[in-house]
Amino acid sequence: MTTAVTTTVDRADSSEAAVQERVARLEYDFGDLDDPGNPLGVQQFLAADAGRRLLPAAERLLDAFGLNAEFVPGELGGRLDRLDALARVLRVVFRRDAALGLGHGLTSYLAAVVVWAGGSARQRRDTAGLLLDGGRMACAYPEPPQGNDFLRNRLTALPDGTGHRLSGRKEAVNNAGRADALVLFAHTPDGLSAFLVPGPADAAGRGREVGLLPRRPTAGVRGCVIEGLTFDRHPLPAGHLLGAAGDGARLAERAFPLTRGAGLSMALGCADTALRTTVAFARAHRSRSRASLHSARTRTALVGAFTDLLVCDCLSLVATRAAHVLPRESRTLAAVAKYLLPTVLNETMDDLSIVLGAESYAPDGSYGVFRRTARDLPMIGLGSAGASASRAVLVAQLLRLPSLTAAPATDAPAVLFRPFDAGLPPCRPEDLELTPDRDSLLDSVEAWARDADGTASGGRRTYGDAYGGAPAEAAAVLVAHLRALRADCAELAARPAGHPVSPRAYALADRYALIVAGAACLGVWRHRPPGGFLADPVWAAMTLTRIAGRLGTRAVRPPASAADHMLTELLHRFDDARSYDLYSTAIGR
Amino acid sequence: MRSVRQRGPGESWGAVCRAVVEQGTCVVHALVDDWLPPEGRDPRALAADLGADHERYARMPASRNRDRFVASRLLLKSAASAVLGTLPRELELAYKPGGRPYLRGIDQLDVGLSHTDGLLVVGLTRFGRIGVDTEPADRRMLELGTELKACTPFELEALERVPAERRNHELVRLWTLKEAYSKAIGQGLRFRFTEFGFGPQGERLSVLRPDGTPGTGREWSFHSWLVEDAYTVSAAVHDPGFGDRPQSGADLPLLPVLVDPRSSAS
Repeated sequence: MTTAVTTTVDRADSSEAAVQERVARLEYDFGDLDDPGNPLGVQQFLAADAGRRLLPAAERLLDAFGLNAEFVPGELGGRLDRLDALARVLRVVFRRDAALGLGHGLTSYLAAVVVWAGGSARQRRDTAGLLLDGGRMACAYPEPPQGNDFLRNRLTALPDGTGHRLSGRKEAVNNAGRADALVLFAHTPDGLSAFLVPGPADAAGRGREVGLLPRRPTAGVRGCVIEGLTFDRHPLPAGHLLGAAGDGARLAERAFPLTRGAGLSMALGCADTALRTTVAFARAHRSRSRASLHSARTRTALVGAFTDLLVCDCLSLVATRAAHVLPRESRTLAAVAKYLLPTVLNETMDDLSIVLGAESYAPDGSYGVFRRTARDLPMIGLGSAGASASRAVLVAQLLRLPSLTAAPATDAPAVLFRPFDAGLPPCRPEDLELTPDRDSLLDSVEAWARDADGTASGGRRTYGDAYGGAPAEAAAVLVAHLRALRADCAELAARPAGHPVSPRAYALADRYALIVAGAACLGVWRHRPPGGFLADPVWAAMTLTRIAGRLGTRAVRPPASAADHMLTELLHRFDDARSYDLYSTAIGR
Repeated sequence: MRSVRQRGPGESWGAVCRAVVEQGTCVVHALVDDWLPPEGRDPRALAADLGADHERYARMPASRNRDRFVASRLLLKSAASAVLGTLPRELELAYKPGGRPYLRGIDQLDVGLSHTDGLLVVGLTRFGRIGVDTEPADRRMLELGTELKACTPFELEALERVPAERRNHELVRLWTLKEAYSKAIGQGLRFRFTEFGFGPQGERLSVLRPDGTPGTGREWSFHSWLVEDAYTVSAAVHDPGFGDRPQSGADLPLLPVLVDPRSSAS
């Protein structure tokens, strides 16, 4: 037994070491974004963006690195074994260019994950082979409750002999024309079905008949080639179905926990670069300039953005690791990330723009990457419609909450919250579609809040000499909001089933998402490593205070010295070229 | 696009709803006095309609400021609930850390709010974000040094070319555009007004850098009107271009009915 435990630990350690090695190698290969002599420097990325293409040198680098292997499960020959690790590797790419991260990465993953979730052994093998050979995939997911041009899906497949014939269109699909294989969700007489079909770029020419609509110009991620797909009785021979006819909705349910949290976690790389760019601007300004670090306005904006990125990363961590640790709850947690992060990240960009002022509009130059990021980030969330499916998941959880509270409350597992802990069980897609049987994060909040205080009293109104009391105070606010939420959910769920849910549920879903984000921060703090920045209560105090503010409680204010302390860490990471997330990764060297 | 006058709680919201359906965006203006809660209104009903803002309202001493506060919130929530197809008390009006108002949890509709003297302005958009601002059109700004604090070098030069009698009006227009934009991005007065500007009246407007070169792209649009012959109203609208424009035959309410998932399970 001892041997078995040791082996597990060793495997986990070596897995984490391998992830860190891959992140370091990719950062090293990309090099310093700000070096004007770097062919993968910021000016080259901006020029590619202006030319509406991906930077060819960057695509070659990712091919040489074998990025696609990150999307392929280990048992099929790839390197995918932890969802949070996948996001960390892709963050390196998004730090340079969101279009590159989507066009040469995430888009293929979004398609492939459906095959992992429900494809036959042969489909899985073929797809793994395609990706490991450097092929690309694109995907037309089912349309959410609220559509837009990027999300609307009007595909129908009618049985024809042993196969189907596909008709209809999907207005906007990233990489449609470059895809070797397509994953298409279409309405069939049995309900929604998913198909794996050869794409327009299929080497054997089997996707020649797929109709492509003209390229669609977009405000952000301009390097992505986004085209529509159109089909007119397109033959889909037998063997193209993923799962059985009518399995589409189920497969999408399995895929969403694997895509929503991970995709947004990758996008933190964009905001990371925007923050670093803004710090560089502030640093470059003399002391009497209003943009300099001597200005309280500048310091507040920078510290606020750093804090927001930590909130987003705590939530991303939980949302991705839940697929391994809390599979039944992972759909809800991934939906929280998908609902909350786009809003927070876009607001972070707005908050930083006041430091850059006129320079926030610069199309090129040292700070030009800021404007590009501000245009790219909204494309990742796809606006209100992009959040609508996730909102529906949250509302379902709100209605479920009152019946879940009867379950004995125990802490969520520590491994959920440990950024460097590779000791995760493998993810089993079939577990992801089960209905949640509890809400581990909410259940744990009260216990943690008491723990953060070090006593059972909670709710102290002063911080004391150190920041030690600050997490407790902010956590007490979170607990108060949680109690109010539970009461409101009880009222919501008391209405008889079958009637439309009160529109109040929209606001409750927002509160729920914020409380879960707070619980994620509190969990990372509670299960903190023994040393380093994450062991310092200042970040917990700042993140929880920020969330309390978003919940509408302004009474809690961290001491000014807490903000100064955050700023010191922010500048240290700037000087040491480290990322603004939970990992403090060394970048570009 | 124009600003729609709303004459009071009893008036139909048809024009506002049509504008939101057809154009995606609507700016509404109203007089404070048309939107004050009537004497003898059930205080509990008022508290329910105001939601969390009621506490602040109850603490404010009677004043014109308090009138504007309550009237603007009632106008905003009435307009939003008409468009969304619900009731004011079902919506939670909240404020971002920077003070920007929003409807919590409802990203199908963004809102903006402004008031001055006796005028209220509310902006509604189903695209992305909106900010609105209003000032009395004849508010004295010239020769008080405002132009130096509020204009880019490019705007100062353009202002010089405006006939003297129209120059103050022009400055008020620029000021309200800047406020509308910085409110849309949640920054209020934190974004320095000398660091971004606008072109002359009559052109398709976009944010310009201090030297007059383009700042924002087509995703932003800007509008200014003179309303009630006395107030300049400006709006800034952000549309990230996801094509959420209404399909033919699309109609209200904008707020999709939330289906109870328990009904299918039972």
